[in-house]
Amino acid sequence: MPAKPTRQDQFLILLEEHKKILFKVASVYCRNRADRDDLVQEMTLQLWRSFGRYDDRQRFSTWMYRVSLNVAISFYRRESRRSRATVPADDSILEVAGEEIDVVMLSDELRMLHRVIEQLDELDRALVLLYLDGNPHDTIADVMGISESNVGTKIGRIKQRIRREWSRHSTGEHTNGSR
Amino acid sequence: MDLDELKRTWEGYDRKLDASVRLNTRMMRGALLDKAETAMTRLSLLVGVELVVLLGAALWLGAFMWRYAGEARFLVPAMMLDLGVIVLVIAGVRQVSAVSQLDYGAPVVAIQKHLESLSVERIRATKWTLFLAPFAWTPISIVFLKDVFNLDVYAAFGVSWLGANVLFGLVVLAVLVGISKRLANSARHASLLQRLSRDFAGHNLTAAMDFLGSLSQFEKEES
Repeated sequence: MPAKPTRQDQFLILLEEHKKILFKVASVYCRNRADRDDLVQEMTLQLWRSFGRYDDRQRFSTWMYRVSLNVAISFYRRESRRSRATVPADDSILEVAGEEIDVVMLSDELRMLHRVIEQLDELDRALVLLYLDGNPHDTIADVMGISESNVGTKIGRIKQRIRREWSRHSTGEHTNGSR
Repeated sequence: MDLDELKRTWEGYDRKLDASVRLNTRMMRGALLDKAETAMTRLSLLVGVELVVLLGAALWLGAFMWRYAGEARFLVPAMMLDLGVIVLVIAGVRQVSAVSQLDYGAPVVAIQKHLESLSVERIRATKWTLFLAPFAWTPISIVFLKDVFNLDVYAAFGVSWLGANVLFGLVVLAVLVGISKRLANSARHASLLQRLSRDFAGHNLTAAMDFLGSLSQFEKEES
């Protein structure tokens, strides 16, 4: 008879299924790899500490977004207040085949998107990430703790902002190209 | 180009991540998850020791006040110190209980508000502790020397010595304010020193209050 999976096994299985959330949250809130590794470690530790309170009637991804975003926002605010004084860890929780990611990162649209995200505050970054990940407005509202109509208003504003940024970017390129 | 077009690019990025990101389960099982427990135990132990020390000090001061209840010159400095210690104990217990009840799986805006309110409380406690510390030396010396060596500081060194200590406390406070303002804006110092400086100079409090304002705005903004 196979052994019953432990709580730690259950956690690792769920984390494996949703590991991309860790990577995407970290890349939205951190510029460099060392910070990203630190944040992934903090998010994982907090997920494990909070796992006892996870109610499995709720979707794991919704719960994981909440915990990860809460940790990431606190990390971002703390790091932006102080200079970096820690040594990067030797080992990473998430191992990334850098080459493949870099190819995608080179796409102009994605670079522009990252530039726009960097200009957003910590709360709007969370909204954009949840939207880009294909979550419907009610899920975004549930993760953030605001009303659905508020989510719609905010996403609409961010869309307008991106359109403006893009047209400025395209005009700049066109001007440079015609010189 | 708009956000919905970028969403399609993001979906491509997401598919690439499926193949590129791997969870380091060896590291997770080996140390990380156990580390989470150890770190929490160590933290609880540190906070526990701090509270025991503070409670010990409160009891010692209580016993001292009982013995010198009829002598205001000893009773008043002991009461001032005891009040400070009791405030620190209450603030410590409140923080520990609030942090242990914090559920990171709750909605983002609510948790961020809770965290930032705790941060405001912590910053205020640190600021007042640092602000009053240079003046604590005088009542501490009165109570400590009387209790341990039965030495009456008023009689042995005179009231002018006590006055000079209070003045010295003022000078130290002025120097601390100057140093904290310089260090708070410098990025070259260790994080603890920088954090204390920013707490004392009021920078962290302003930032925390601003963020609380942004959270309220974010929550209520509808159209």
